[in-house]
Amino acid sequence: MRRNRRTFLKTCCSLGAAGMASQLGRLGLVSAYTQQPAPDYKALVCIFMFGGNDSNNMIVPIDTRYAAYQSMRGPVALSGGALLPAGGSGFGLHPSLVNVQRLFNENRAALVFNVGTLVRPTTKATLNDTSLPKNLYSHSDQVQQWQTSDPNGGGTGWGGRINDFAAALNSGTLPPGITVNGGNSLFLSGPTTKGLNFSNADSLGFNTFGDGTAMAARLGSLQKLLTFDSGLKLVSAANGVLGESIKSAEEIEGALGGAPALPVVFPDSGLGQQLAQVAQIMAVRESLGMNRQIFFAGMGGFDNHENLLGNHAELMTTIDQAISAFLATLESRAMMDRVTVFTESEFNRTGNANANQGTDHAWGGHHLVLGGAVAGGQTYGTFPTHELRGPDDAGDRGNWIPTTSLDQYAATLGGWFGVPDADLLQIFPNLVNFAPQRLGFV
Amino acid sequence: MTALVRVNFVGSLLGGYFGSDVVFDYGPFTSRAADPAALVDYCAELFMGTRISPEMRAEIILAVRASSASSTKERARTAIYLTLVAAQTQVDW
Repeated sequence: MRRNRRTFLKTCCSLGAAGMASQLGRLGLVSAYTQQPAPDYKALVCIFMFGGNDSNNMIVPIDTRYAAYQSMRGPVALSGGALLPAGGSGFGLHPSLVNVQRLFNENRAALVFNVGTLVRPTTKATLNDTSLPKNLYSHSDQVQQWQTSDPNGGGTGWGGRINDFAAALNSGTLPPGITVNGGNSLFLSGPTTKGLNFSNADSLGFNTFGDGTAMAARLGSLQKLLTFDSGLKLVSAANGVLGESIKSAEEIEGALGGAPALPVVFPDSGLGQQLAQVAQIMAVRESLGMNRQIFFAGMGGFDNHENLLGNHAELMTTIDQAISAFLATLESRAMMDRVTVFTESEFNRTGNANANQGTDHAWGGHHLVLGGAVAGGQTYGTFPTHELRGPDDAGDRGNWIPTTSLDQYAATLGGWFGVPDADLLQIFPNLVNFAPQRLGFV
Repeated sequence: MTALVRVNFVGSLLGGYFGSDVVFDYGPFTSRAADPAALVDYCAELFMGTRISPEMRAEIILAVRASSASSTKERARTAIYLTLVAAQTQVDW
């Protein structure tokens, strides 16, 4: 029978309070549950759409520009009648984004146009004379650049660099960055702070076996093994990581034990469950001593070189339902103004279709920002002209040259998070090349 | 907390969480359970190419010795678990 960490702790309890305290002490599991409340809690939640979201079909002009859109997209054009008007903005949302439309009309969602990786402002006229981000159109390179906001690649994430600032605002011991989509995201790995991978709930406890007393003894021995200095840096580092993981897991699991039930049912999708997890961690923020947190969620499946319309409809439905449940939870918990959700994706896709009713890798794309603090019901940035080989096309298939840099997009979020302007310039070294440096959507 | 996933894989293996898909043959380990040092040395040879540090070896021997001698499987699992989850093994492997 599977026994988790909680079961293990109950086993300790059966040995008596002193025994349990002794066991916890040996494991170094001193919690921060009694930290002070977080009076001005703020959180950023990144939803990364891996594969390159076709945002040309996420946000579509529905005014006089629709005809150009339809002509450009051909077989992958959405029907004008099916698009969901975003207020009176002249743009429609993908038919699956019913809740995003509602949130936009409630001024809780904003649309940001044609965002991409850039070194400095770039136009078609300057395209051949300007430094460009390394390896445009490459999944791995552009995922890296969107997570680092470094057009040359970069080794630290912009979320992590913001967290190096934000960590001082937290009284708890956990890192302010938490990844919930699996793996360890570069996005939350800063020069100092590292993100915590919370993707696998099973990893919160020990998979135990055999006699309870013997298992407790084994874990005690494990803790001793972690303290041995082998003289090898790699072994010491691995010991440190495991030791910290045990402490963090215990701290979060202990706090989550006191979390209220979710007020809404989250969809049973990967993203839905990730955001449910985020909501619960936020609910125990005071127990954890967290005043600032950045979460990294994500989903794949966006690399649709074929059958774009069918696949994208499913993806948009997943995004819409997960976001809706998450924001409903925030509203129920009076946290709407404290949390800002935003999307990222490594690139947009080509304006025209390929032979397989799919679209291919491109550059600048449109994004969603949601939450109570968002200056919603509005659009930000400049929408590209839907014309192949036109003024915004870097090639001949509708590869939009970004008119808003990722640095501006990210710095706007960082500014709302509380990072001073001077620090933003340090966090985003190329931000100085752009104006305005903050876009005002939040 | 990815580091815990690795530890828990070992826990799952020894706890039989994989059901009949994975069968662990404890025979070579239980046959050495009466002699904790021999058991730990066997684990070190098998999983670490004998490159176990004296401190780690001593600690695992202590842990095995603390397990009831009447349960050879419990002793075997203690030795295997601690050898496999140790960072030294992770790095050397």
